[in-house]
Amino acid sequence: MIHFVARRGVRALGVLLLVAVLAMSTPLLLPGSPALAVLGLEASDADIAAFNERYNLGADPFTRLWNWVTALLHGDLGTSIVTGSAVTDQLAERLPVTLELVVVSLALALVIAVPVALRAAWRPGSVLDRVSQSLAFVLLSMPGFVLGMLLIYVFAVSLKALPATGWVPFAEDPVEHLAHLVLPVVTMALAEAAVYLRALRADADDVLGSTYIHAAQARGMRPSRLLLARALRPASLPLVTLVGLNLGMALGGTLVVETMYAIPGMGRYVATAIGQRDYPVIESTTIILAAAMVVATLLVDLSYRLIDPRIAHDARH
Amino acid sequence: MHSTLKLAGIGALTAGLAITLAACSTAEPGDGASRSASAAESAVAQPVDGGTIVYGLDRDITSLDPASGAISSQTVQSVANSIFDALMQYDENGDLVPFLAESFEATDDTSSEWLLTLRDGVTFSDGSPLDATAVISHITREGAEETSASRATVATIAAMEPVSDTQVRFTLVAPNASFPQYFTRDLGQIASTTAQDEFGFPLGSGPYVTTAYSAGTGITMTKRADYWGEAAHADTVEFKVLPDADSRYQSLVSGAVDAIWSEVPSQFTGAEGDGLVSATGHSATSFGLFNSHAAPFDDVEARKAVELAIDPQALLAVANDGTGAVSTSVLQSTSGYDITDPQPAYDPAAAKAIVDKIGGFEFSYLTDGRGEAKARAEAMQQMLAEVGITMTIQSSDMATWGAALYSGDYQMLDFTTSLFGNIDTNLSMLVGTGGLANFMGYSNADVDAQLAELAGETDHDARGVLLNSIAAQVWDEAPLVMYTENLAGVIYNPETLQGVEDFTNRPQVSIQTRLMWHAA
Repeated sequence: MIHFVARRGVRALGVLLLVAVLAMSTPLLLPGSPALAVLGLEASDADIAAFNERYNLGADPFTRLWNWVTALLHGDLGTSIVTGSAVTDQLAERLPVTLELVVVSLALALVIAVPVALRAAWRPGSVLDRVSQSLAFVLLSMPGFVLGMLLIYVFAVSLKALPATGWVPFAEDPVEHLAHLVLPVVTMALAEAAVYLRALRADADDVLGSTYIHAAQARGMRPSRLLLARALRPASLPLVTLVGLNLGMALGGTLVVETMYAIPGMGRYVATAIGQRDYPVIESTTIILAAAMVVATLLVDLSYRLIDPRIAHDARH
Repeated sequence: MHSTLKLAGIGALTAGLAITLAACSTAEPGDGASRSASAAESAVAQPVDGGTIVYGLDRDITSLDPASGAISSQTVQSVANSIFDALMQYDENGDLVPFLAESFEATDDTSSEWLLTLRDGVTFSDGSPLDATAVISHITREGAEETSASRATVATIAAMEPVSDTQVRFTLVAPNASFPQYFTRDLGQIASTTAQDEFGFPLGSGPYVTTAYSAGTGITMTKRADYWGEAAHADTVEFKVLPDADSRYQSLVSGAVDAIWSEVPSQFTGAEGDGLVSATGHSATSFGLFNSHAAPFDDVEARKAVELAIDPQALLAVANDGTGAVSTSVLQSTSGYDITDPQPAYDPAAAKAIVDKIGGFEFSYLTDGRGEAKARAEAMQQMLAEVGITMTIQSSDMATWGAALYSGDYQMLDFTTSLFGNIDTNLSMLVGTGGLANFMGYSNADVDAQLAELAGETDHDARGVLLNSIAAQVWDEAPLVMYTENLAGVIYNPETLQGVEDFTNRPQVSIQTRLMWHAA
């Protein structure tokens, strides 16, 4: 196991290094200068040149990366060109917001998808199976912003039960915080649940056809125990892969939900930075998001070995 | 970035349209003269003090410092006006009138020297006096900060000197009969250069002070007890950052906010059906820029063929949902000047005749990726195809669009700006040789001479003649083609909010929260 982790860790560092060099190349690759956003129409060519010089925008990617790593060792991710604020401070505000969205929506998606998928697989062709498959298909076909607008219309505009937009920090007002969390979390969770449901339903169907399942059933094991204790584990490998990938991508993939619901998270932060060519923010967030993806992938690989020890055994031989 | 503010800083460069020169009359703040209702309810309802107004902004506000350029655009004047008072403002007729100033008058025949007289007893929110020294310090800082949207304007001031505690004399580099128009936004919104609030932003003399600020979420402001003018009605104003236009509107419909900023035509047309009211002005103009330094538009005939082949009325229907107006001149329909020399009208037969003469050609049209710009481009593509011109659409993000604009790396480009709303001060910037917003690189010695004459001309009718004469010369060379005047403004729920001003005749939509009150 230690050897495996070490080998994957070295590979992950290589991936991160490659991503970091690419991120540091963005000032040379992307058209447009943050000088235009900051200095506006008043800027002369000399002003823009001086601005680019001050922020070292013409430097090669390796120099930028060296400077970034050196600053990182001092706990500094640089300063936003546009806002003048420290990137670490902005991340400290935004990252927890998105993490909360991602974790809560993932939990809700699993709470919905796992029991429904197992039950549907237990009774193929049942009403639950057909309804859940159809709903999953609808949710998968529906863009996130359409689902979001639909939820806003029903629960905020028509029923006036939940706030349509906005974000209230937990420390400020826990009740309002939860109220503002419901619609964005449900928007994300429903789309995720549809994916998980279809994946788990298909694999559970295969597992439930296995001889050992029939044997357990013949021994009189209760269906609920059979599904959770016998079928879920072997059927969950694809689900774990999907959850891992979703977790890795979700940090930067919440743009639509954060924009629609006016949530000050990472998605909006990154998108705004790209639009304004705020390179210190783009570089730092790209590397952080890549690191999240790498860690998630590593955890998925490790979890394979825990879920199915044969994988570790096969790897050794 | 927002459609009325194509680049940071452009909004603050726009100043007023109607010129009120000497003997500007004083309007008492909150006296109701500028509170004419855009909804009938506003005219009859009595103001109610107290409560909280919740207002939906279309963007995050990264700074509350006028010199940062972050609150200089029209879309966020609601925030700026809450903290800062402008020296000058536009009344409901579109006339420029003093506000924080008592008067702002030319003291010589050439409009090269101006005397600003401040109101007595105005203080910043920390109680320190807003006097002549504070005004000079503020303007000096606006000219020095690299992020300021008013550096070029400050550079037109040769000298500033305090005449007394409440008077400042300005000596200009060149005559400028429209000089006070520069003082309706960031340059005129006097900020303290010595005192800051707890968030690090300079203090103002406005009706509210900032009590909570969270980037990406919103700003809360509380009424000042010691405001120099008539106190604001609402105790608190909450500005919420709601960047998505659709969910911002749904927040209003659901009652989560009382008012929102909007530039979406379908929202204006649908507001009444949802029990809402719009208060809008013709605050932005869409037009096309030709790159006359590169083929095919280095040929004036090619530019004219495109100009004649485009039907602005159709663009208004397609891109603006029929709201706003067709733009027929560099003079806006609300300018107060007669348009005697409009842009040549849509004439596909004449366009086809030119194409037959010079041969069909192809070009690329660059847009900034906004929905309205894309819809406009697609309609133009069809119109141009009918006369034998092939247009390909290049849709980019704002940064790429801006880079192309500055570098001249485009053939034709879609541009929306509020600069045309203040044509008295901004025409030289748009078509004068070397003008800040003259991205076409247009240069005409006769036009420059007439612009210089315009700068010193104080008679309204004579200015109208000069403006039309300049426009006529511009049409001859067709460096640009006008499309539409677009609506922008506030949509609000009249059951919860009253006191929203009417912006129909004003060159700027400058929301004043101090005049609003919470009705429910």
